[in-house]
Amino acid sequence: MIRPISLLLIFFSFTSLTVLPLSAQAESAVKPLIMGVFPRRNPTITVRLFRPMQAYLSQALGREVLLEPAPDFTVFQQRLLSGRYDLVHLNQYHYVEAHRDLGYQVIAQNEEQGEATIRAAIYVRDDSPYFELDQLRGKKIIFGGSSQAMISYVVPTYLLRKAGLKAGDYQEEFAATPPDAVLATYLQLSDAGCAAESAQRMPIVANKIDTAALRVLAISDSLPHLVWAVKGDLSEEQKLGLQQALLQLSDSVEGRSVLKAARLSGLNPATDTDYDVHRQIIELVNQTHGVDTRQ
Amino acid sequence: MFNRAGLRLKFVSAISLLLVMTLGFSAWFLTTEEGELLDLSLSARAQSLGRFASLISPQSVYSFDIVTLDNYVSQIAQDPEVRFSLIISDDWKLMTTTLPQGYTRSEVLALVNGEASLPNLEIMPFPIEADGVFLGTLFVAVDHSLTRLVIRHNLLQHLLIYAGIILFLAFIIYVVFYQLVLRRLNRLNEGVQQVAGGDYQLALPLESADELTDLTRCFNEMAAEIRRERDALQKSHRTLEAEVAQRMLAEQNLKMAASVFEHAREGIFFTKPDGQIFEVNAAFTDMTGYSRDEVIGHNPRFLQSGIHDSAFFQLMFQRIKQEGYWTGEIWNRLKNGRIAPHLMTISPVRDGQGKLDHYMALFTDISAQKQHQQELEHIAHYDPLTGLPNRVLLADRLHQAMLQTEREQKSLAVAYLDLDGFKQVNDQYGHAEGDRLLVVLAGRMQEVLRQSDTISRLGGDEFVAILSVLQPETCETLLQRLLEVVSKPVVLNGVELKVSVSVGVTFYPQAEPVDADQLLRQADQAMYQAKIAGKNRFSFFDPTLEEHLRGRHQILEQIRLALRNDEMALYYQPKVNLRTGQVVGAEGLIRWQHPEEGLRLPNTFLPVLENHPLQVELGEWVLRQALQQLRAWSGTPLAFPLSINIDAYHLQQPDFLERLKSILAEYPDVDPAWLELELLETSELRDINRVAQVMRACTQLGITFALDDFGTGYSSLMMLKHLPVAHLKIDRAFVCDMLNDSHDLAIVEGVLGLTVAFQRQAIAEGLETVEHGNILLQLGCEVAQGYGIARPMPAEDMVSWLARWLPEPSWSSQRTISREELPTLFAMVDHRAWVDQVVACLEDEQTVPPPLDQKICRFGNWLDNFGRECYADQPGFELICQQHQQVHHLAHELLTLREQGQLEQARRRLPELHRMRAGLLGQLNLLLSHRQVH
Repeated sequence: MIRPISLLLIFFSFTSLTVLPLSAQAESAVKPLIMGVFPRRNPTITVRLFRPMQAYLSQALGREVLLEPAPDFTVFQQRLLSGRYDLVHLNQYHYVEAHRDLGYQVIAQNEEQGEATIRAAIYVRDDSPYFELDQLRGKKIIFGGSSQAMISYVVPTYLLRKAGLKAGDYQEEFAATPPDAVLATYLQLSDAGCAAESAQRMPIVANKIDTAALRVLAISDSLPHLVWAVKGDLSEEQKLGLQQALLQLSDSVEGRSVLKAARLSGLNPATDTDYDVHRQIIELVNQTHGVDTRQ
Repeated sequence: MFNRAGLRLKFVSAISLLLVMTLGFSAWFLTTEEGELLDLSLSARAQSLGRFASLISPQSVYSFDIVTLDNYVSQIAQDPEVRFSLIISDDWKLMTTTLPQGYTRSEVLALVNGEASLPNLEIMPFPIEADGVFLGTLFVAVDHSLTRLVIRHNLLQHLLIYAGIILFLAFIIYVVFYQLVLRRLNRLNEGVQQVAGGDYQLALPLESADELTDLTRCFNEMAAEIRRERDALQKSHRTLEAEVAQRMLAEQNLKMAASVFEHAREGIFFTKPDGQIFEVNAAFTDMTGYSRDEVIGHNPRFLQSGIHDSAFFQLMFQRIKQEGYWTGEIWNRLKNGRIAPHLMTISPVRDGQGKLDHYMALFTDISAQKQHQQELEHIAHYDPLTGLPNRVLLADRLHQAMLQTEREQKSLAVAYLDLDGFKQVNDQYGHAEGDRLLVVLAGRMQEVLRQSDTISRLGGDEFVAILSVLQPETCETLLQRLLEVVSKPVVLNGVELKVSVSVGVTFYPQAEPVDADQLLRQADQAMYQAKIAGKNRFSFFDPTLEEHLRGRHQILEQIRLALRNDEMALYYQPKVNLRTGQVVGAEGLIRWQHPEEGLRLPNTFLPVLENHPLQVELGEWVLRQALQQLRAWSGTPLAFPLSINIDAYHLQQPDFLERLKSILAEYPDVDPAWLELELLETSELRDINRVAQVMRACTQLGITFALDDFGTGYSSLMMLKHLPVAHLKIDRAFVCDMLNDSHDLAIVEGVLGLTVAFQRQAIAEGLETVEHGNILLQLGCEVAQGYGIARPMPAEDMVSWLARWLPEPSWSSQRTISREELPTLFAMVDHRAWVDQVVACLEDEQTVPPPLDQKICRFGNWLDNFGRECYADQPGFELICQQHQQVHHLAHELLTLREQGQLEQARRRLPELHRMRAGLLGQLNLLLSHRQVH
C-alpha cells in the first residue's frame, strides 16, 4: 500500500520536471535590466543610496532591475564599454564617450541640492598664499577621482589651461573621490584640490572639516549635471518607460523618498545636445593634455 | 601591661598579628603580580591595535582616501582605552580629520612627535607599508588609567577576599581554642571564686580525659571535702542555737502567761480534775464578787443559777470530753445574788503524757450585750410610737397564727384598719397631736382585743389586727367594738379630736391556698371597699369582687379607657332661686355611661381616683366639657353660670394654674366668670395657704369657688376663713333630714348663720320636697338644687326642662323667719320626727317607740313653754294644743294595737296619723304667718 507522503513526493517530482523548462523560457524573455552607477562614492554607499531606486524602477516597469555598483572607475568603464548597463548613471565625460562609442542616450540629468547644473572648482586653503591660478605653477594639485572625472578633473584642467598652465606646469595627484580631494587640500596634503563646487557642502566633507578654512580659487560655468542614460539598443518603448519613470519620481511621495535616498533633489529631462559643451571642454583638454583622457 | 592581660586578649592579639602579617604579604604579592599583568596587558593591547594598521589598505593612503582612513581611525578610537588615533603620511602630514576633543592639530602632532606627553597616555606608532614601501604611520594613543584602575580594583578585591578568609580561619581557631581551653579554664576560675565565696556545693562537670579534666576533678574533690567540714560545723551550731532559743521562749511564755492571767479582763479559774478550784485571777473576783480565798478549794457549783438543768451540764462535759473544750453562754449567780450571763470557755489541760492535769475556765460578762440585744429586738419588732408590734413582728405573728390555725382547725381573721380623717387632724393640729392621737387609739384598740389577738401598726394611720375566731361571723362584734373605740372622741390638750376607722377583713383558711402577703392584700382591698362604702365601717373581703375588678389598678385602667372611648358625660343639675323661680346656674356632675353596667354614678368610681394622677386628667376633661357647654349655651336661655367639682388633689397640682389658663385659652369666647369650681369641704389640703393662693389667682381670672358638702368636715371654719370661696353648699344629708331631725336642722341653720357672718352665699343641696324649700326659705336660704327641682340631666334635656320649669307657688310667699321664731320651726321638726318614729314602730317591731306622754315629747315641751309664751294669744294656739293631744292619743291607740298584735289594723290607720300631723303642722305655719303679719 502506498503511503500519502509518497504520493505527495511523486506529485512534486512530476510538476518540477514539467514546469522548469517553462520558467527558463520566461526568464530569457523577461531579462532583468542592469542598472549601473559610476563610482562617485564607494560601492557600499552607492548600493545603499540607489537600492530604493532599483526597487522603484522594478515596480514601475514591471520588470526586474538589477543594481550593479562598480568598485572603481576602471571596472565601471570596462563594464560600460562592454555595453553591460541598460540604464546607467554616469558623469558627463563618460556619457560623451558612451554616446559616441556605444550609442547611449541621455534621458535625464541630476538636480542636487536644488541645483540643476554643476560647477567645477579649484580649492586652496584659506591660509595659503595662492590667489591666482598661475600661482599654482609647480605646485601639487590633487583631483577627485581619475582623469575621467568630468567635474573634478576635466573641467578644472580646462580652467588651468585657460589660465595658461600646461601639462607639466604642476604636479597632478588623484584622490580616491572628489570629496577626498577637498579633504586632502584641507589637510595640506596638496596645495590645491579640484572637485565640484558643491563638494564642500557635501555632509561627508562639511561634517569632517571646517570648510571656512578653504577658499575657491577658480570656478567654472554652470554645466548640465550628471547623466542618466540608456543603452541605445533598448526599444523606444523601454527608453520612454525608463525616462518617464525617472522624471515622475518627484511627482509622488514615494518617488521623492527615492530621490532623497539617492541624495538627489530631483531628476530633470535632458537631451544629448545639452552635453555639447562638455564635448568642447573635453576636446580642448585632450588637445592640450599630455595624456589622453580616453585611456 | 600585656602580661597582666587575660588569656583571651593575648590569644586574640596573636591572631590579629598573624592576620596583619598575612594580609601584608598578600598585598605585596598581589601588587607585584598585578604589575606584571599590566605589562602583559599593554603588550597584548599593542599587538591587538597593531593589527588595525595591517588592515589599512595602502591604496587608501596612496589615493588620499581620507574618508576611508577616517573610518579606520574612528573604529580604533572606539576602543575604550584608546584616547585617539590618527594617520601621518610618509612626509609627516596628517591624513585624517579626526582630532581628540580639546586638541588642535599642532598639539596632536606635538604629542605624536614626542614633543609633549600626558600622564597615563602612551602613543603607539604602527607603520603602514606596501610591498616594503613606507606609506605612513598609524598612531594610537592608549590611556592606561582605566587599566590601572581595573588592576587596582582587582587588587583590592583580592585583598578583601584574603582578609575574609583569614578572619574566618582566625574565628575558627578562636572557637576551637575557646571550646577546648578557654571555656573550661573560665569555668574552673569561676568555680574557684564560688568556693572562695562560700559555695561548697559546686561540682564542675568533667569533660574528655585531658589535663584540664584532671585539674577539674581535683578541684571538685577539694570543694567536697570543704563542704563536708562546713556542714558538720553548721549542724552543731544550729543545735546549740535551737536549745538556747527554746529555753528563752519557754521563759518568755511563762512570763506572758502569768501576765495574761493577772491582767486579763476575762475571769479565769483553774480546777483540779475533781473540780476543786485551785486558782482564780483578779477579774474572776471582780466579776463574781467572790474573793480568792472564798473559792479556793471549792467546787464551782456555787456559781450555778439554777436556770440550767442537769442535762445542760452533762452536755457541757460531754463536749469537753469529745471536742476538747466547751464554749457557750451560761447564767451564773454572783455573790450579790444577781444572775448574770457569761460567755464561758472550759478547756482541759493535759501534761506531757496526755493525762488530764487540770481544767481551765475563762469567761466574760455579756450582760450589756444581752441587754442591747433585747433592745435591738424590741426596736426591730415594735413600733416605737405606739409600742405595738410592727410590720416585721406582724409577719411573724401572722405566720405563726396561720400555722396554729391549721393545727387547731380554727379560723383566723386579718383586719386591715385605716383611720378616716386622720390626715385632717395632722394638717390641722400638727403631727405631734396626730402622733398622740395614734397612741391613744392604739391603746384603745389594744384594750378591746383579747390576749390571743394581735394588733400591729404598719405605719402612718394603718393598723393590722390578727383575730383568732371560731367562726368568721363571730368576729363582727369585735370589729364593731373596734369601730366604736376609734370613733370615740379623743380629748388632747383640751381639744376634742374625732376620727373613725375603715376596716377590711379577710379570713384564713380559704378555699384556695393563700399566704400571709395575700391575706394582707385581701384585707387591704376590703378596707378600700369600706372606704368607698362611706368609711367608718368594716368590709369583708369579697373574692368575687376581687376577681371582677382585679384591684384598683384595673378600675383605673377602665376609667382611663372610658375617657379615651368618650364614655364619660356631664349631667347638669339646675340651681334655682326658690323665691323668684329664676335659674341662677347649674352644676355639672360627671356620669359614666358604662357600656355593660349602664350609667354609673360618680361615687362608684371617683373614690378609686383619690390621689391618683388620673384624677387630674378626669378633672381637666370635666373642665373642658363645662367650658364647651358654656360656649354652646351662650346666647340661649340656658346662658347661666356652671359649676363643676374640683378635686383637692387636682387643685394642689403645682401646674394647676398654668394648666387652667391654658384650657381657658382654648375657649377665648367663654367668660371665666361663668365658671365656678366646687371644692369639697372634706378635701385633704396639704398646705391650705398654698391652696388659698392658687384660688385667689383663679379668682383674678374671674373664676369663683364654692365649698361643697359644707358641714361634713372638721375644718369648715378654717377653710371658710382662709379660702376665697363665694358660695357654701350645704350638704344634702343635712338638708334632706332637716325636716325630721332637729340636729340637722340646727346644722343647716348654723351654716346659714356662717354664710351671713362671713358674707358668703349659701346654696342648699338635696332639696327633694316642697317642704324642704319652705323651710330653707324660712331659714333664709334662697338658692337650692335637688331632685325636688330637677334631677341631673344631659345637656340636651335642659332646654325642655327649662320650658317646663315652674317654681312651687308657696315658695314665692314664704318669708324668712326671725331667730326668735326658730324654736317654732324646730318644734315642727320635732313633731314630724316624733310621728315618723311612731310610724317606724309600726313598720318595724324592733324600733323603740317615742315617748307617748304629750307632756314629755319635745313638741309638747315647746308647746307648754315657748309656744304658750309666744303664741297663747294667737287664735289657732288652742287648736294646736288639741291637735297635739289627738295625735298623741291616736299614736297611743296604734301602738297599743301593735302591742296587742293587731299590727295590720294599726298600719291601716296610719294615714289618719299623717293627716293629723299635716293639720298640726299647717296650724303651726299659720301661726308663723300670723306672727309675720303682726
